[in-house]
Amino acid sequence: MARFALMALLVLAPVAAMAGDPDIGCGPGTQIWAGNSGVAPKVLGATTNGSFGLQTFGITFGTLGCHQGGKVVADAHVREFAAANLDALAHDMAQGDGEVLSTFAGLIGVKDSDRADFYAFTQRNFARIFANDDTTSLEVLASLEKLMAEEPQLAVYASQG
Amino acid sequence: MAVAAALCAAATANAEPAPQGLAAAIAQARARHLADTLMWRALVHYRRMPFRSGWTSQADGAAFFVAPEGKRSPESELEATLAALFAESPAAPDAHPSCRYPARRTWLASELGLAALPEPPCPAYEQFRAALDPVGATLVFAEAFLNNPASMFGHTLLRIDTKRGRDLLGFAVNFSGATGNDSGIVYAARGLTGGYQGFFSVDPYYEKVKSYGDWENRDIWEYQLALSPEELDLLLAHLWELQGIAFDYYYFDENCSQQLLALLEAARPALREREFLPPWVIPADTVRAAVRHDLVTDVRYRPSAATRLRDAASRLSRDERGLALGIASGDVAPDAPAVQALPPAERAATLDVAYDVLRYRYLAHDVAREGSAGRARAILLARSEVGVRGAAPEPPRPAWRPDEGHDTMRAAFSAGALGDEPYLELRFRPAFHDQLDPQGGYVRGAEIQFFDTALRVYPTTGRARVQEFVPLDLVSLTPWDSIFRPLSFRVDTGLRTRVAPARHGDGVEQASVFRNRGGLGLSLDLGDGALLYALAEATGEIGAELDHDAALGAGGSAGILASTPGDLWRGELFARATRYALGDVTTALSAGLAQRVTLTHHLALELRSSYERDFGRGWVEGVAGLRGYF
Repeated sequence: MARFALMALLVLAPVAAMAGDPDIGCGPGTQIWAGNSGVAPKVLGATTNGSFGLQTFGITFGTLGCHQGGKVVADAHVREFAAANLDALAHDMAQGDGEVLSTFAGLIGVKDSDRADFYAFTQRNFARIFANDDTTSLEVLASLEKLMAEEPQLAVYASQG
Repeated sequence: MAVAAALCAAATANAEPAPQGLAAAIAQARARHLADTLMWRALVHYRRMPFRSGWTSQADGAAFFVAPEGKRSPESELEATLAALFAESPAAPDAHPSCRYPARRTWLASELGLAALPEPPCPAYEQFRAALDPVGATLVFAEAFLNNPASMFGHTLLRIDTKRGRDLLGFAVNFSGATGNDSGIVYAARGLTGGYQGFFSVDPYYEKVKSYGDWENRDIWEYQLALSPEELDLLLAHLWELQGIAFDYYYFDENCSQQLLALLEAARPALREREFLPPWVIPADTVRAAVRHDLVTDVRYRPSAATRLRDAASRLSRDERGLALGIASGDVAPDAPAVQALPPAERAATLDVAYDVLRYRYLAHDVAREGSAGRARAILLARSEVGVRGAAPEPPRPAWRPDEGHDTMRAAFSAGALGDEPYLELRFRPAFHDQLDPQGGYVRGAEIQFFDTALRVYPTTGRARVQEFVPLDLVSLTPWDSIFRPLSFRVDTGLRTRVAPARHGDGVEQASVFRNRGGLGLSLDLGDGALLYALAEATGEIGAELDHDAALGAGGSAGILASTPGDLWRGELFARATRYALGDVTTALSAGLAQRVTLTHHLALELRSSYERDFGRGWVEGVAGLRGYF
């Protein structure tokens, strides 16, 4: 076991010295949109990246059941996914395409036949969904739900399904 | 006929009447040597350990074992498990051992035909299973990340694919050392000596894609596994058994990859190829093992954010790229006339690149959120108004997958001449990859070698010596361009040979020195895979033959690395100068050409010729040899 330990320890000293930033590997848990800056991202990173020191399984989502076609804001999956992927979701909505947007559409239960319309809808309404520079993920979901309710074809995904 | 007869015999054995109780179950388990099966060893993680007889479980958390001596005794653990499974149901839900050991229960019940086991309520386990809702499993490989010693060889994790979605919505099962905030030397010391405890964790897969793909810019490969529903069931049940169980974490062998393979063994015991752990387990080898055992059905490539950005930027014209950079840095408004003048598709692509550049710089801590958020929104607003729907095209998939790269152990035999003195050289490198090795499947510009060792014999004089013994050699050459501005670096440490004037007489003699060298600089992409690099270097040496036993020097190295298309030939034109100012005052020079020609997947030809100068003497050295990878 670890038979090279001692020797390798001696020679790894230069590498160790090189790896100066203790945060490398944990990743800065930060997004442009989520409204974090300064120290906050690192704190967020420490909690987001649950594999460090976590001794029990951190399944925080998935346990509440999946609301197929349910209310967008009320669904815990949707909230967590949107919060964790807001930067990419914003980009995907603006370009009306992308993996994060299609995953999101699946989570809120948009049928395959309505996908193209939904993507175009998010692009068309981008300015209202991401209403300002500090829009949070919850505000995004609330605006989206309100706008979808006004859209005949998409209203079914916004109200109780 | 023989096969049919054997199958019938097996069927008859399985159809034996179930034991009525514990005593019969234990008797049958003993008679069939169940404790001595691959499956039981997989479920309790028993292995052969050096300097120890019998079996030892790699698990270190006492809660993992039913029998007090379970860590060292497969038989006691199996019989204690059977006794526990037969125990009366306690009143409290989740309290029965059946809830604690669902994989052991499933396997033992099926092997021994235990129909009458208690079936206590296990709501916590049921909830875990319902949450994961598995339909399949995928082995995920994240490419090497040289800026972090923990990730130098890459990383593997397992993704449980759920009914809700195969990709981002899957669950990542990850084994990692609980290193807390330790870094650098503390990490090295504890990581190498088993000073950390490792645990399995389960997180949403999209979190892993973010940390590896977006933050660390590592390309990810997803190997879909061909597991039957029964195998998948055992895998999940065993994962539950491992919750909260500590394993001593060792950087080289008891690491993420080895533990992940051990977890997979619960589903497919035949994955275990040897009972002793190899001295090191490299993540790509885990993937190779899965491929070798026909476990992989489909492979997907998930390029990192940086790979996507580099590719998207390369599709822009020079002017568009300039505009995108200007928009990202705030010098050009997203709706400036120059941007508006672009045709819609080009305008969309330019704004997409601008947003990704800004996001990349933000994640790299190059820009603060203040100002960035407003700019990000303005860019996306402009993008949404272009009206062109669609993401940038997927970057091309590399021709080689990580598991298709060359094997990481290398041995070389070569013949050469130092000046006019011929020599033979035998070289062995346990791991991993250097700049001349075939590039397919490895990170471009990354060199990581451990314990590269060369023995040299000079037949004319009969002298033999350890030419080199280099425990660590690390080089990262990442090209600098208008978007990405990484530094290139090198670190190496080990025993080297210098040619010095003889102490007596006026000949030369070879001297062993222990050398540490570090370098920092830049690389440039010359196109077609060619790379130009220049590094400033500092060198420190210790050696009995040196004046005052030590030497300190400063200098630099530069070179060009290039390959033919398909990488059958690869060469490096190199030059280095080191001015030693402390100890012996002298200038050492070296310049030449090193080449590799691939012969087969396991064999390559190596040629190297150089001019060397040290201690005021110059000589030419040439060597040719064969490199074998295995």
